[in-house]
Amino acid sequence: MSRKRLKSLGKPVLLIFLCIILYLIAMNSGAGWLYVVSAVVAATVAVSLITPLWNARGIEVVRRAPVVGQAGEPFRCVLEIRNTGRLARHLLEIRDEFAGDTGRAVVTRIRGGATERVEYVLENPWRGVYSGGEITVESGAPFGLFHGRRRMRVASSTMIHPRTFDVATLPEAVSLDAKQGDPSENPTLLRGHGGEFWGIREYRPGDPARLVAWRRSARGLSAGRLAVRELAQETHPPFHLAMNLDARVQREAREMVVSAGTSLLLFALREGREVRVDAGAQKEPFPEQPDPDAVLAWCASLVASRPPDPSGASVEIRPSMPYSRKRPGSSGPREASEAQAVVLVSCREFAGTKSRTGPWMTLEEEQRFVEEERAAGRQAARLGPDVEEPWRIE
Amino acid sequence: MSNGEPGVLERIKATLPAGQKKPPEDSVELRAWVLAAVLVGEVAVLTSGYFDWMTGILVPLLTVVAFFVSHNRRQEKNFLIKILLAFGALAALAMFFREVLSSLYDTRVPLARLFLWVQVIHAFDLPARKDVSYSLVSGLILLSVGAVLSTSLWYGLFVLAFFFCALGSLTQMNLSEARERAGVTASRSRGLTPGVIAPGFFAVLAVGVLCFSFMPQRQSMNLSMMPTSAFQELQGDFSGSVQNPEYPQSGNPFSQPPQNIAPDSYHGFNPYMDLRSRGRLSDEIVMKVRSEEAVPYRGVVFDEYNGKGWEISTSEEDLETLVSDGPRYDLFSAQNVEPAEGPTRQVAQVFYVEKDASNVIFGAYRPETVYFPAGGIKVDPQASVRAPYKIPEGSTYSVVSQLPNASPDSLRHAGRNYPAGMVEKYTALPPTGLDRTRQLARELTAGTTNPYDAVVKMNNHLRSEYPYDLSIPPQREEMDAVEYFLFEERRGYCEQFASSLAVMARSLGIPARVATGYVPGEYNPFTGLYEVKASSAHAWVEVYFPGYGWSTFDPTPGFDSTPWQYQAAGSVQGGKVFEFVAEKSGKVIGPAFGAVGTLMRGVARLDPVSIIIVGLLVAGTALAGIYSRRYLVRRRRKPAVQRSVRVSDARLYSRYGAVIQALEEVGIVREPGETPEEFARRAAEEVGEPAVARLGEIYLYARFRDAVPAALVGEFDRLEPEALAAVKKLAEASKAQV
Repeated sequence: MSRKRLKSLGKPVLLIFLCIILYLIAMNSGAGWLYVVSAVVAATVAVSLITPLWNARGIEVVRRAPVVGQAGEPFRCVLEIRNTGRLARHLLEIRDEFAGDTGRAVVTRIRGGATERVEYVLENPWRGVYSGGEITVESGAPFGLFHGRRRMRVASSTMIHPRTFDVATLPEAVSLDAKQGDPSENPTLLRGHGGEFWGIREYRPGDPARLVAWRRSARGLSAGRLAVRELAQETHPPFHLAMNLDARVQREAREMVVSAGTSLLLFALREGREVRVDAGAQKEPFPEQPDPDAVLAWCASLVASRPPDPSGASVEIRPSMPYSRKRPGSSGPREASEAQAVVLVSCREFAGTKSRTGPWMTLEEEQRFVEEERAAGRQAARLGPDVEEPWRIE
Repeated sequence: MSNGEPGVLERIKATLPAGQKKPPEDSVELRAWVLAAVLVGEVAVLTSGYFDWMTGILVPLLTVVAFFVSHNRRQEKNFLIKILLAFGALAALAMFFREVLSSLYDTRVPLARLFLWVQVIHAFDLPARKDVSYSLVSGLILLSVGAVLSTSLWYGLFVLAFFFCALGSLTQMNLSEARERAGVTASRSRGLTPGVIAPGFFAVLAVGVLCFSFMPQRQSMNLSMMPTSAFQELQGDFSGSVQNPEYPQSGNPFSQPPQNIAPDSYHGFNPYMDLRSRGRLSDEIVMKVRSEEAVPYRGVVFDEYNGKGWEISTSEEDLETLVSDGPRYDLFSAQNVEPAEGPTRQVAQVFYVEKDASNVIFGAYRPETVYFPAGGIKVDPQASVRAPYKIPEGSTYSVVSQLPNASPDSLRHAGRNYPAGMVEKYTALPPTGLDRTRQLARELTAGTTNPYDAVVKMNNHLRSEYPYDLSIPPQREEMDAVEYFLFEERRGYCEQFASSLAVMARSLGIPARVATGYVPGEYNPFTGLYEVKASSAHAWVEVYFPGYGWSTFDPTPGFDSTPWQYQAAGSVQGGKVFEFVAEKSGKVIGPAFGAVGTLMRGVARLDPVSIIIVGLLVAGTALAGIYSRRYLVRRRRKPAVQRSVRVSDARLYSRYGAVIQALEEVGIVREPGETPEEFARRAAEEVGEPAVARLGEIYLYARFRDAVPAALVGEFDRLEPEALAAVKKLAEASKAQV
């Protein structure tokens, strides 16, 4: 029996205890009125045991919820509670588990056959696409010693978009890589991360493995040295986002992955960029003609999945979990990203103050990861629950 | 502090651990209900008669103030108030101990006083809901204390009032908790009292009566704490003779004609008992008794028969005085009281005196321990106990007695080996005037072999052959009172029955005497007390059996023939509760039925007043019925559904109205009986513009549907100028024709 359940039995247990004590005193003193008092206390407990069960019956609930909301933004719901019985019902407590949060409302009285409307605010809805939720009609009427409950599933369609925040700019590696390039290069085709071939050069730390030119390395370079392909920077390069929605991660950290990803996607769309997203295996494919609404709807429907392959991604957003593969030559215990920029969402900070330890990286490991990524020439950022807006990946 | 340094209080506060503060209770309704319950509990205790008027005013007044203060300061820490309350609690505790040490035998009143003041003190600090609920529990404790102190049926009103308020409090507490969980602020809740609290109260009451009916009730007592009223020190010696304020205490009553009987006071509680007259005693309650068994309350024992009545042969010098610093008297320490013999059983009784009485202290035979609130009592050789004063109304005393518990077989074999002096004293009879009585006794007991069977035979003869009658006139002939009853009047009252048996037993050489007292009375299952009326006064016979002492026989028809024989009281009081309620209700309803009967008889006699009254009653009932039915029908009628008019709909109405007006200006007017749709179609034909008909359809849609789709509003926007243009064109054409 749960502690909450035990606590709810406190009042009846106290009354039964009082009833027994008064009865024993009556037996000892022969005081007749004390028997009466003891009997009425017992009757109070008996009546309280029966009436809540009846009071919670014959109640129908309809939920009127907004069609769209945003995660973390409170929104108002209306419940239409109908009493299908002939007699009035009193002191009904409605608990609505909807949109990842719980809303509560109290109805003091509903006459027989009447409908009451109550409003409540869902303070912290979670991202998702909801078709309804479970409503519990609870009553402790009249005396609150025992409670009768009825659970029912109430349908209502609501989509909660992920929380988004202002993005200052996309990472430089994504937007204009050629600024750091050779000035003697072809002015119409700048070196960058586009689809066109640019040239071959020697491997530098941080280069993605997929760009290693294995045949050229085997033929033309001495042992132990690698050659990589360089690609041209397109004028409007596509924005390719890899979102790691690892199921092992706490929900809050995963939501931050989605929020950061959605924010970057919306910014990229505003800049007129072609966007592609890899968020692991999802039920719905990413929209072929993405617009902000479609992106928000798709992001709202994202569920936990296996980590995507970040190779070639413009930005990878990942939780601070250790992965098995290591970067070649790296001393660190964690796998390096193969994207052009990486955002590390700190699971440790989302774990709260109570449990700082878990399967995620420690603070030192997170910092080392970011330093290593930067040392490898990538832009890297660490993201906790507090986001400074406008946000940028340093 | 002026220099900015923290004061003493602040420094003490800083050293205290910062506990988690409970959220303050904002519901005024909850506090009001709890206050009402607490006040009822307090008044229930204060009206028990044990408290002075000052306490009676101060306690409720301070409680109201305390609730007000604690509500207003519910957000504060109230550190100073808490310190003051702690001192107040210590003072109440000190007062309690002082009072308890002065009255160790009955701690109920000091305890009640402590509870009262603790309640007041606690009421000053009720910031949170939990504190308020503790106050409610405290109110229940006060009600229970009052239940122990109360001996009145009126206490039921306090029980009802308390539980009504307590159930209201629980309901409000339930609402307050639900609102807190839902994050809703406290506000006034309408309709809870008639909707929930009152029905809940009646449901609890019904179930409570059932619970009470089937609740096993043991009528036992805590023998270490027997209650008494306030102790009075004894000033000097006192007379131990029986003193009854209603009867003359001097002169020889038997030398005068039969005396008149005082209806409120039994003439058997005197030093003498005149058998020549009786009369009815009133039904006024003279005392209430808490007793472990339904046995008679023995008061006075008469051992000398003089042909007209009975006297107590013991002189004042033979009475033994017992003195004590406290209320407890142990009668085993008395020297000249007849000793207890044979098997006995213990019975404890508490007597609450409801009316000024004689100085007789009642108890079941034979008193063992007496708790009486005076510095001394007297006891005669027959173990009859006397108080030093006539016992006033409001007095309480307790008696623990030993009852003879010998079986009939034991008594049958007791034999005739009476102690020396016993036969002379308890078989003495007047030498003349009892011949027929002696003859009757001999005839009745012919063939019996032992005194027990002889007494039983005579007892049964009296019970079966002589009717009980309180209405007989005083003795008219100058003869022996027993002979007069047995052979002349042949009907009579309990004193005559008892005297006859005692005299017949004595005539056979069996020691016998007459005792007076009260029968157990009517048991009130609510108070747990036997209610003894003045008319419950009774007389019976005590017969001596060697080795077993005095056993009781009651020859009066309708009374228990062996009242001291052990009878276990039923523990389930269900039947008694319903029986008691039915009897009391009958007494209340009876007069009403009587009045109805009188009216009906009057109507049958064609008495105009009765006819008018009955007519008015019938007409009034009929009118009340008609109006009640109308009221209920009106209340049950569902209000007509009112569809909320949307702004877009309202605009459509006014715009369509403008089209109609334009049509009327050109002479196209809606005919009576023409539906709007028909009119729109006709207008469209006359104008030559189908848009007019369509506008009518859209108007009807808006008028009678829940909402107008945006597409229809758009269509209306498009068609309206076309229709108006067509109407205008028609108007211009008409003008041109003119």
